[in-house]
Amino acid sequence: MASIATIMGVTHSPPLPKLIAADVPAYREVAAAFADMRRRLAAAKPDLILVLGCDHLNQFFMNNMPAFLIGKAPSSLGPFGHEQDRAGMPSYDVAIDQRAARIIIEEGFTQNVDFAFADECVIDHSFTVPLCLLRPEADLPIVPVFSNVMAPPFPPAARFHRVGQALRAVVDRLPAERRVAVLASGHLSTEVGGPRLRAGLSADRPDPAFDKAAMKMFGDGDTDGLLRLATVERMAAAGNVTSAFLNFVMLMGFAGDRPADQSEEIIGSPFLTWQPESAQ
Amino acid sequence: VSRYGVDKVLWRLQPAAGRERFLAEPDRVFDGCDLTEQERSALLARDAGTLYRLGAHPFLLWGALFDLAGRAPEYRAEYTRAIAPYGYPDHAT
Repeated sequence: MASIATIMGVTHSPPLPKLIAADVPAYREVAAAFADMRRRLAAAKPDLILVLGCDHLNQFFMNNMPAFLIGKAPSSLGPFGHEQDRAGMPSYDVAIDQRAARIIIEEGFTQNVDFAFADECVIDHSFTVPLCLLRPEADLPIVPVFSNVMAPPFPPAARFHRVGQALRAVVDRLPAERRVAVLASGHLSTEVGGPRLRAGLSADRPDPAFDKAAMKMFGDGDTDGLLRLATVERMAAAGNVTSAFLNFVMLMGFAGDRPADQSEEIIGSPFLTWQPESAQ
Repeated sequence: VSRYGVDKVLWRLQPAAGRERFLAEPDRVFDGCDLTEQERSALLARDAGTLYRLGAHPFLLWGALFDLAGRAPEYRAEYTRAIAPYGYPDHAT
């Protein structure tokens, strides 16, 4: 049975790497939280990062939209050029652990989850922003899990939670020597392309009440509350692309509904951590 | 209304090469996309309000029009003014 090195969740807000690199005073607290998480990820000594992210209608489109897809290309380089042009994001070039990816797909079937897969994939900013901030060395292989949170209809919160549980069962079956870190990429209330569009800084949230309620539920281990909160209607009211929040619901399923050891919002950026249940 | 056709055009505008093609030969970018005359002319006019009201995917619409506006920060206010009257139209395809 593989061991879980750590379980983490953070934002993928595109301007953050640039703001942090430029040492913008208003974002120093966020920068410090990412630096702390980066140290904790390194200290956990993972040999694989399972990244729960999404694709922003870059490579997966409504002509052929997977609900949940495992990337099993030899490697992946992202984000897309137009994403870099818009937000000045750094790129990230990383190996994918194809063997682990294949086991996850095969074992997924036994967990009643039919993952789609792709032997070519580009990690967009959903993956590259957290990875650049938390593992800039790009020396650990990843397995990317792409969820559809962009094109309705997408799966409901209960399905994200169930897929998180299935991934946990599957990861537990990886070879015993593996140490897996799990990193979910999402965000709290967010609006892009709607009337509440702001300047793209993560401080300016459209629905702080949604954010506060959600963070408390992670801290309390309140999965029922999360499933009631993360309805299509409530997420849309919180901001028209708030649905990337669902990746954190998947993470809660992975974490076994335990209260998060860290459930902190700093200037609109969520930081979630679950320590491994026992010294494994 | 053919939301998928509009979204497909907007999707083709993501790479810089797609935007250059749109400026030079828009018909090539519309090729294979099921569009009404209203949608076609709104796309040509970069009419944010009409496209948004008809149910274009907001993420794709904003990205494409912002890129076509040269990512000028002041375009943000122009875009939100244009779409604000329409609230949140259904954008499911």
